[in-house]
Amino acid sequence: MEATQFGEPPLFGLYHPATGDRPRGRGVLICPPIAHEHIRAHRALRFLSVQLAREGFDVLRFDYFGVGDSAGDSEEAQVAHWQADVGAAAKELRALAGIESLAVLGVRFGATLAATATGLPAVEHLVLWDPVLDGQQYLLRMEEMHRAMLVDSRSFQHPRQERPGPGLLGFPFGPSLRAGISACDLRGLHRWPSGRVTVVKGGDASKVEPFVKELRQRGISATLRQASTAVDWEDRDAVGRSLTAGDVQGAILASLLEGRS
Amino acid sequence: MKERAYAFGEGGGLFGILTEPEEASQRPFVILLNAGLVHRVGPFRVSVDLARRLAALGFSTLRMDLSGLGDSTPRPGEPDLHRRVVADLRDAMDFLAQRRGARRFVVGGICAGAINAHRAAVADPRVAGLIMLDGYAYPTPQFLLRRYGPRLANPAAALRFVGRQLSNLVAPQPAATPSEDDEILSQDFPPKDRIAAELRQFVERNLALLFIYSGNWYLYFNYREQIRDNFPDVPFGDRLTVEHFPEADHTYTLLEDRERLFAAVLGWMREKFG
Repeated sequence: MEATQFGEPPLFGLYHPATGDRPRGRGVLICPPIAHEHIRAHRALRFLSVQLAREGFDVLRFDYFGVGDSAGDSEEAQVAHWQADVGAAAKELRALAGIESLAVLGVRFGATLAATATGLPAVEHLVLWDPVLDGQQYLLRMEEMHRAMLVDSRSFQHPRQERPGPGLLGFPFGPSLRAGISACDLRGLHRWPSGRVTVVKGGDASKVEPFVKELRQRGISATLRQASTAVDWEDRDAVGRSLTAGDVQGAILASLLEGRS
Repeated sequence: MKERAYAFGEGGGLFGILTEPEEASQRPFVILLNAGLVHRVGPFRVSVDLARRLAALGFSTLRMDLSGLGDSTPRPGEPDLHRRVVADLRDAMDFLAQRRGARRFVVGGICAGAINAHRAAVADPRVAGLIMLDGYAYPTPQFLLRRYGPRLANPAAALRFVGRQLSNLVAPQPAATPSEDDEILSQDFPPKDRIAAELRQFVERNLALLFIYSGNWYLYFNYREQIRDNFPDVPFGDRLTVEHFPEADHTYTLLEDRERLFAAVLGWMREKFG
């Protein structure tokens, strides 16, 4: 694993070069979730990166502007900036690994960003783990969780009356960032960065089945891969805890290996 | 401000990000530890924000992952958590001494991170200051009065409380399945006598101590003078600063609470080491 900083202002990334006996000459760019989900997923994505590198992939996971270890205050984050960050990270991975062939794995809103990224070179395969399909619903749900937290005696000794502000579950979501997230709706997305999309869903997949069907109708080679480990991203008690990917990790690996040598 | 990632320690297994002001100074270096299992950025990125604000004041900060956490690899051959933590911190201080000539350190953490910071201070004389968020505290008569007094004044509430305590005593407890994660998350407070002896040692070494407690720690701490009452024989003088944010939760989730936390830490750093 090697740390890398790229772009200006610099984004932080961790590069896992292929370590297996059979390097595949193929890169996997990991686009993590945002905000509290970013922190929850860190450990699972580290394990996944190590496993993918062992399987011969060159892997880059990185933090968007204003997220994790990258430059920028959380208050400055913008969706358009993040979408461009995905493109910049893809180019960084291709340069680091000296490869052309690229798959992108996006997790939650990271999946949304991967699908709507700007400046992205050709992507052979887009893998979306529990993608946020509807940005507006995503924000509404976070707002509900935030309101519930303020009156939860396990968090606060006394119910809190918060001053009006941008805070949602510990992170600032200003008007511009909220507008950018609300505008994201993968169900209405016409230009996809890859002709091959796999949606990986842990637990009940009924909500994403119509989305996968719709992709197929648009001529995209779309696959739904189910796993039994359901990550409850909307569990308020889990905010701040590391998640366990369980067999989702295997499902992602199998998706990336499928039809490839 | 400059930021760069480093791998250090034996075999480069430890990982951290060093945030430095544009101009080097003789001030102590700050080391921020993991809060529970959260990687080095801290809950809600609190360690990143704090490191950058400290850099604006002229302090360099390493936010690091202890072995086996975040992006640091496990430390082989050392099964004891306490010894691992001390060895990790020693490696971090050695690294900063070699690379930047650092001689004094302020170590800080939340919860288990606070207890780990204390351990590092006991083991290494280079630690000049401690920032402990929701670290140890022990009951005192005043603590108990504040905690249980309101119930005692209300007979119905007192009965409900006694009933709950009795049912807790007889209810079957779930079987324990300890894991390494559990070990990190559920560290008990050390015995009070031992802490008293170690705090006396800190005072002799002239360590600056900042103890901050959130409202979420109400089961252990509920008034500002509690630490001095816990250790009446330790001549803290002005070496100990205690802050209490009863309205805040354990990880300072609300932005307004975090601003108050930052103001307390930055003000203390400026006063003691600026």
